[in-house]
Amino acid sequence: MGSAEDRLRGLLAANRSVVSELALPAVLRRIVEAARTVAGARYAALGVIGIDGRLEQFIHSGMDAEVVELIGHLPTGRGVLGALIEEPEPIRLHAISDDPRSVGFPAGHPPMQGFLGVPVRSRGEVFGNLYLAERVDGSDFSPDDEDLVVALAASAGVAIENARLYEESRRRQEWLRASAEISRDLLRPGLGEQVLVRIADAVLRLADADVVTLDFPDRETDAVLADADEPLAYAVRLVVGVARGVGADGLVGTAYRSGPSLAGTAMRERRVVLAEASGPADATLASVAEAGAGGPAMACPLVGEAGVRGAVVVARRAGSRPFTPTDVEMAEQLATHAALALELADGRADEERIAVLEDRHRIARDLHDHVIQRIFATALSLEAVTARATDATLRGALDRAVEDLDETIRRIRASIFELQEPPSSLDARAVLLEVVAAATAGLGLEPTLSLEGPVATVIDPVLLHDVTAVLREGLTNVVKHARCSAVSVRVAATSEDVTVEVTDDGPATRAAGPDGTRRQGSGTPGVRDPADATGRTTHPLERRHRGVANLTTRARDRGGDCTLTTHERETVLRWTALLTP
Amino acid sequence: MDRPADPVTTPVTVFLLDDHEIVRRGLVDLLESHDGFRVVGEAGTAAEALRRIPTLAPQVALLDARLPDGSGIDVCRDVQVSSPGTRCLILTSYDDDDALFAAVMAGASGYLLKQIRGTSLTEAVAHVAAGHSLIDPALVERLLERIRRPLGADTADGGRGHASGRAGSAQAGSRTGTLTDREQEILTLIAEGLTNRQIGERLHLAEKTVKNYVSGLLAKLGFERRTQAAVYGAQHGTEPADHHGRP
Repeated sequence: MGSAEDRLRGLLAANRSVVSELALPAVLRRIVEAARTVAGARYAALGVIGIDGRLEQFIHSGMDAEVVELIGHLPTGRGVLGALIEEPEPIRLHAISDDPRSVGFPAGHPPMQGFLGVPVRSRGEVFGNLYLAERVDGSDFSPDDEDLVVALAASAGVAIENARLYEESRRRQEWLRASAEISRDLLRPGLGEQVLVRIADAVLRLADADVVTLDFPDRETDAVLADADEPLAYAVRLVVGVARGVGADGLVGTAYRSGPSLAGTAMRERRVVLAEASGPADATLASVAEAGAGGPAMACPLVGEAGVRGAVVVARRAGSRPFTPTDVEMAEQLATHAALALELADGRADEERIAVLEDRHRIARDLHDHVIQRIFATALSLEAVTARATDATLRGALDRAVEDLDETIRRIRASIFELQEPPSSLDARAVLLEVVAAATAGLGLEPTLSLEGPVATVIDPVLLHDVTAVLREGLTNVVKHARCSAVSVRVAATSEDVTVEVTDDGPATRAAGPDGTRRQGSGTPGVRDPADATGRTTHPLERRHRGVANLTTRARDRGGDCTLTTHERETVLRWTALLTP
Repeated sequence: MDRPADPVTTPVTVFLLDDHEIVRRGLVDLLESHDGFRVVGEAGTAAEALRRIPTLAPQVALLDARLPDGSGIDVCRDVQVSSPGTRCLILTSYDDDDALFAAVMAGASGYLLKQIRGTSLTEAVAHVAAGHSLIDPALVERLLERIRRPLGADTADGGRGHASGRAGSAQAGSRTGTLTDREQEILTLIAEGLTNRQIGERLHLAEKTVKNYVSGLLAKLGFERRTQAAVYGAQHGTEPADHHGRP
């Protein structure tokens, strides 16, 4: 080994080399190489201490790749290496095996005698330790060696700190850029769900996560959460709406109980919650753990104007390092973006809805103010003329014209109603419209619905229940059994009774007898169809008659009746009920 | 006003209020094609009707429920005081429920839908002129029940898959929860057919106060909304050309 001056020069060169690098992995490698040179050691290593006090990383130098492979695993920080972790003071030994704390070497490990260990501090914390073994010249490590390595460790600490700061500023910059990009996306209309996917991607990248999901309350229970009613909020189910990262495809649509989950806790407490999954079956992180990211995790609530709308769940694989405060801060900010995206989407949807409603109102008003009035006026004039017409043919023609105009007015009135009333369960008219529309959805034809008399006034909720049941049953039968081309529904209300008629022109009518009329009820099990008597399979009409039986009961309970009548060209289901049975 | 002893020789006098001139023409055509009726005056706005009806004192006034400057309901209630001999029929082109509500609120003798078949217009006018009411008391009862009924929960099962279930229940709350005791009381008296003056006397309120209550009730029960839309349209010039007497 050279003079003291040479050694100092060597240290200075090593320092320069160490501090001139900014990327952390390269800095660590240079520290190891510099230490080996400065101390004249055969082997050098830097052990980075993890959160659990074990060695998280072990960067080594001087050992052949084949030997490393032979040993199989890197040291985890037991024995003499562990002693340095427990007590961060330099250790200098003539022979490692002499130390009582030594646990020996694994098989295939080259023999190591002389040892010098020095802690590396950064930001006031022990970052890791420099380990040196076996001087090249075979001598023991001297106190001078120790001083030099301690000096190097000090600059190594600074270099590590710089590299970390640099890394953080770079991440912040990246995060700012992502933020700006997302802000731009938010202002672009029509991106929809895509914004949320981009946010999830940004979180995945910036938080160095393995999976990121955006979870929302199940549609049917979301109202409950807004009430912030604790016990109910606990029972809400969450559904993964957006997922990025490992197993993301299988995650979307997965539902889980909000109660014990990390996302649920974040939503209830309106703050970021961190956790470490205890295993794949961990209820707090069921969704992401199953996907393969059963390590450190955090959940950020998506807080909107009307309450908490969901949560962003960020997770790493088992064994990964936990999230840092910067990770948390970053995820929190991006969660704010996501919440904003949701609010904006709602706002846009509302705007569109309002535009549609306004349009509908305008159309309805036009129909009412222009069209109906004119048709009515024309019909009035025609009616006046009809009264004076003496010719029977002319009268008949005028009568038909007036009737047609009346029918047109009725249809326009129905359209106005549909245009003006948003679907509501409060109005009997709206309910009837919806039931008819829903029951005939599979029919491929538009049923005509005519409502006569003060239907909404007369049909109270209990009666409405019966009437809708009749409509559903009647229409379902039509859909199932009759291949018809036209269906009409008539609901008429007077101060005494309600009549429901479902008329179709299905082919079942062909099997009807000459008079075509059949009554249901009277305790007889329905009229047997002639076709059935000849041994063929049950005729559709027969099955329809059976379906009517339960409607008959409903009608009888209300002092009414139910009949299924078949004429030449149509089948009519007629159901009546008295208002005061 | 003397009631005509013989309707064949003395035609029933009728006043028409409808903002569509074309409708008034049609009504005149129809009524005058019969010997038993004579249209003595017409108006296109509520204000004009209120001015002319007391002077003309017709036996029957046909009032369009929705007008650019108000409603036929208000006109009807005023007419009951200013021209007690005049019987009113509410005309509407919406549905029966709407018409029934309008007629009951107006204290009218009946309603007519703007359609030809069904209730005969001439018969209805003659019937009302003879002092009868076309409104079935049983229906009035049901109407009141419907207004007071806590809507929502029990009707929800009537429809399938209501996406707007939440909005619906909120609406129910606003419809039933907001009628004050005083409004309920006035609603009952309206349904009994009392005029604003009679209600005022009964409750020791000024006639004007009763009028305000009626307007409030109409607004709360959702009648005003459509009218207001029409007024808005009229004021912003989007209404049809056959609108008369803009406010």
